[in-house]
Amino acid sequence: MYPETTMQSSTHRSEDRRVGFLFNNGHTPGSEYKRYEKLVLGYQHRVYGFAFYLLGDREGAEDVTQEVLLRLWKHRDGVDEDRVLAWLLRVTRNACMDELRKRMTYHNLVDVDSERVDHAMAGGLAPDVETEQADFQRRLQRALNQVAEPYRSIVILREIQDMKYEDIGDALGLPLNTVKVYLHRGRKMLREQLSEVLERETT
Amino acid sequence: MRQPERNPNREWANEHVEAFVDDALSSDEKERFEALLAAGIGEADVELARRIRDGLHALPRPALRPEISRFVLEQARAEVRASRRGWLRQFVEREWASLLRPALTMAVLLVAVVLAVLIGRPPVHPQEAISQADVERALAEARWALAYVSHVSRETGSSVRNEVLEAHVVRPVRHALGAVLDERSETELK
Repeated sequence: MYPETTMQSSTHRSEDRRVGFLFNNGHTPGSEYKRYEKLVLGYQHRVYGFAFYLLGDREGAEDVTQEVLLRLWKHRDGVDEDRVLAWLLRVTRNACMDELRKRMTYHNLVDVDSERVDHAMAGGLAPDVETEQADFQRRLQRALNQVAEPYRSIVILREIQDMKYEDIGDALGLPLNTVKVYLHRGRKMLREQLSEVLERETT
Repeated sequence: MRQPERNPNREWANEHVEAFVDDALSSDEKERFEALLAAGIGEADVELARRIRDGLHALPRPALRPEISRFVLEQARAEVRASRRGWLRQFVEREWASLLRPALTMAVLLVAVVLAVLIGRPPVHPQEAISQADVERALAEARWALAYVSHVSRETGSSVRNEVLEAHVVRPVRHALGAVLDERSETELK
């Protein structure tokens, strides 16, 4: 349970897209900082959300996000102006993979956000419908933790973070068609896992 | 042990469920898929795939706590401040002998000159209004002053004539002339 974590507004996705520039050589440290600040404020939630669903826990995601954002400041001269988001997501994914390797718990991630899912799903539905949907969300998230890479990253970026196929391909270094195929494959993996769970429960 | 019977249509449908849900099939494929659905193949899979897609869309998008971004930005700010201080120190060290020391000396001299000028200057009072009465009084005082000067000049002239010219010029000349005339008279008488 993470009561101190605030939820993003529904408009953050469009706000992210407004930030589309980075550092140019010849800028003063002050102006570089201003640009960096804009990028941090524009992309912080997206980076964190991606890390959160890859790692499955808040503390780890915060550590990774902090590390990635500081790395952006250190590498500000080497990051392509038009590909900041792709750079951020690629670095985030690599950092998360390293973290998961360290933990050696890739297949044993705990269900971390069940109460948040409950909270997010609560919105005027009948109690039994709410419970059923929240239950499904928990299973879905647990199943998502079992999906292999890079399918999981693609599912997170496309279905949860609502990113364009082109941006996902750019971030993960994959061609557009591959992203589309992998997305369907990732969701098929989810379907197979959930199908088994639901079937088991029915029988 | 008996293997379950393979159904190519079911396998094909299973492979294309997500594409069907996303409406990403070609028209031929979509037609084939719909025909299979009508035959009772893959209905449950399509329903589950839709639930999964909708469920993923509905998953919460967590936001980073503001403390984290504040910390990150503070780190960058500290680096900016440090780099500014470093730049200034390097500039001073590099330019001290050739530029800054002469410039500083000139500035100190200039300040000293300006202060000296400002301190030695008499205070400037604001211009006061002068009335006609003041002017007339000043003229009267000037006349009195001139009259006094004139009187003193006359007095001085008389004194000079009486005391200096009479004693040192007129009397000696008269005496000399008298002597010359007396000498001449004696000669003629002889």
